[in-house]
Amino acid sequence: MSAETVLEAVDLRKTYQIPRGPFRKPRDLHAVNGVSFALTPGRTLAIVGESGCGKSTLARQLTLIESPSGGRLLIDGKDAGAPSKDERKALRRSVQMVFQNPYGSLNPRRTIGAALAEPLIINTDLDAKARGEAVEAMLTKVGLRPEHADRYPHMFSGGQRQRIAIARALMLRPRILVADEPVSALDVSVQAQVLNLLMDLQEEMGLAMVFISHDLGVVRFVADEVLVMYLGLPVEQAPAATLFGAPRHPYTKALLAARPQIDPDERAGRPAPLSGELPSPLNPPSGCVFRTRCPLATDRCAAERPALRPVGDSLTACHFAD
Amino acid sequence: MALLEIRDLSVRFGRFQAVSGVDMTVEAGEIVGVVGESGSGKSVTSLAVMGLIDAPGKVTAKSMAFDGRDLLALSAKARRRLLGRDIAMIFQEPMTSLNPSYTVGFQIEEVLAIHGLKDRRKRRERAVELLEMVGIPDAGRRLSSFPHQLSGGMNQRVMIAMSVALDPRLLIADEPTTALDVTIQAQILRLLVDLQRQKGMGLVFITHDLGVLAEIADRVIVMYAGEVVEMATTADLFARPAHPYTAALLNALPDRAVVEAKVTGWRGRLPAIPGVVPGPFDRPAGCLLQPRCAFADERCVAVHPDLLPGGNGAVRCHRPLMPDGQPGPDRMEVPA
Repeated sequence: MSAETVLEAVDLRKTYQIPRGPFRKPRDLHAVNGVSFALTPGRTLAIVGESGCGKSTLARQLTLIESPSGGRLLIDGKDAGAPSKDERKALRRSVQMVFQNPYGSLNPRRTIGAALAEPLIINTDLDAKARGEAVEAMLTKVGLRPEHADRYPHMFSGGQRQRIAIARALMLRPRILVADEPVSALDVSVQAQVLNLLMDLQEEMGLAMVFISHDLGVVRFVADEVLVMYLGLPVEQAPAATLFGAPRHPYTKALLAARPQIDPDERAGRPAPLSGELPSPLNPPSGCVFRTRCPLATDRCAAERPALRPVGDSLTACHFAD
Repeated sequence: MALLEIRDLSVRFGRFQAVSGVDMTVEAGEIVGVVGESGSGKSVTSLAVMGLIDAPGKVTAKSMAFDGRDLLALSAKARRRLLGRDIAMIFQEPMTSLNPSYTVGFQIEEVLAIHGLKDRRKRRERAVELLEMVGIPDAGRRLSSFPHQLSGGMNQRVMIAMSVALDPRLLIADEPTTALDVTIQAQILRLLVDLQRQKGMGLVFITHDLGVLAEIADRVIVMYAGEVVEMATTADLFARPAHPYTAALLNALPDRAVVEAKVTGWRGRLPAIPGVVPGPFDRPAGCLLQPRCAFADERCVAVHPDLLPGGNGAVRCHRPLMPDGQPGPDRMEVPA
C-alpha cells in the first residue's frame, strides 16, 4: 500500500444468511464476493453494475454501516474490520456518505441548520456559535444561502436537497466520500449542477470519492477508475479511459452497448442487447456467473470460475479476454 | 388524417396551469417522443389524452381528435370503450401498475373479457400467445405467477402484453423503461419498436431521457413548464437544436462533455443550466425559460413567445438558435 492510500479494500466480502424455515439450513447469499481496490485523495473510483450486483452493500461496508464477513478494509491505513467502539467512531469521521434519495435522507421535522450541526454536536467540542458559523460556511460552499439554515427540507427542490445532503456529509471534513447514486433521482439540468459541485468540492478538499452509479454516461465523466460488478463479483477493473475505450469483459461491453446513444456514429455496429435476466443471487450459475447471458460462453465457463487477471492495463475476470 | 390530433390542450388543477396550449399530432405507424424534466407536463398531457384526469383537474382543448372523432365530445362510456381497444397506455412502474393480489394471467384475461372475448379457453390461449409475443419464456406457466414473483423487466413485458392485447392503434408509453436496468431497458425498447412496426401502431413515448428518443423516435416534442418549446424530426433536433432549452439540455449531458474532453484533453465541468424548473406558483413573466436562458434579453422578460414554425419544425423562442448554436435575428423584426 502506498503512503498516500486513504481507502483500501482487500478481498472484501459480505455474506448474508437467508433463513429457509425451521428444519432447513440457511442459505448463503454472497452480496459482495471478493472486492479489492486502493484509493488515493482527489481520485474517484466508480462502482458500476445493475441492481442486485452488490454495489450498495459495498457502499455500506465502506461507510462502516455493515461489517465485512471476510477480507480487510483499511481506512487511512487502520484496519476497519473489527474496531473497538472508540476507533469505529473515529474512523466514521473520515468516511461519509451521500444517499440516492434526497427526499428520504433528510428528517422532515428538523431545520437544515439543525441537520448540518448534528455531526458537529456529536463529534466535536464546538460551541453553538462556532457550529452556526460552520453551517453557514458549508451552505455557501455547496451553493446555498446562509439564511437557508432556518428552513425545512420540504421547502427545497430535489437538487437543493442533494446539495444539503452533500453539505451534511462534508461537515466533519471527511477524507473519503461515498456517494450512492447521488444524481440518479435528479433531472438532467440539475444533475449537471450537482456533478459539478461534487467535482469542485473534491478538488478543493482533496476528497477520495467512491461513486456508485448505474449510469455509464455519468461515470465516464466523473471517474478515474471503474469497477464493474455482476452478482457480487468484480468482473472488470480498469482506468476509466481504458474501460470506455477498450472494454475487455463481455459484460462491460454489453453494458456499454445497451446505453441509449445520442450520437448516431456511436450507435453504428454495436452488438445486439444482452438476452435474459440477472440470475438469482441465491442460486448463482456455476463457474463464471455471467455465462448464462454471455455470447462467448463455453463448457469451460460452466466448469471453472475465471479469476480476475491483468489484461493490458485492466483486470478482467474472463477466460477469453485478451 | 392523423391518428391523434390535439390542438391547444390545456390542463388546470385549481390555480395551477399544468399544461398550456399543447399541440400534438401522431400519425399511424409513427413514434413521437415527448421529452421534458419533472414538472414539464409531459405525463399530464398523456393522461388528458387517455381521459384519466380527475376533478379538480380540468381539461380544455380546441380539438382532441382520435381518428377523426372528437374525444371531448364523446360520452364517458363511449370514451371508455376506446380505451384498451384503440388507445392503450403503459406506465412507468410495472410493479405498482399491476395488481399484486391477482395472477398476471387473470389480469391479461380480464382485459380480453371486458372487451368481449367470452370464451374462457380462447382467452387463455390468447394470453399465452401474448406472453410469448413479448418474449416471456415458459408462457403457459408464467400465467399463474403473481407480479411479485416476476422481475421488473418481466412485469413490464406483462404490461406491454396487456396493452397490445386488443391491437390498439395508438399506444402511449409513459417512461416505460425508467425503472429498469440498462440491459433490460435495451430489451424492452427493442420489443416496443418491433411491436410498433409489426402492428403499424402510432406510439407516443414519454421520457426524460434524450438518449432513448435519439434511438427510437421519428419526431420529438420538447416540453418545459407545461408548454411545448420545440418540435422537430429526431435527426434535426439532435443535430441542430433551435430552442436554447433543447440545446442546453443536450450540453448538460455528461456524454457530450466526454466527447469534447477526448478532443481537447479538457477535464472540466459540465455546462449546467443554472436555476431550477419553475414550480406551480413561481412561473416567471414573459418566456418561462428566461431566468435560466443564456441568451435572454428584455423582450424575453416582457413578451411570452409563441410556438411558431422555424428551425426544422416549430420553436417557441423570439430568437431561435442558428445552426452555429448562436441566437438568430429577432422574429419580430424579420418579415414573415
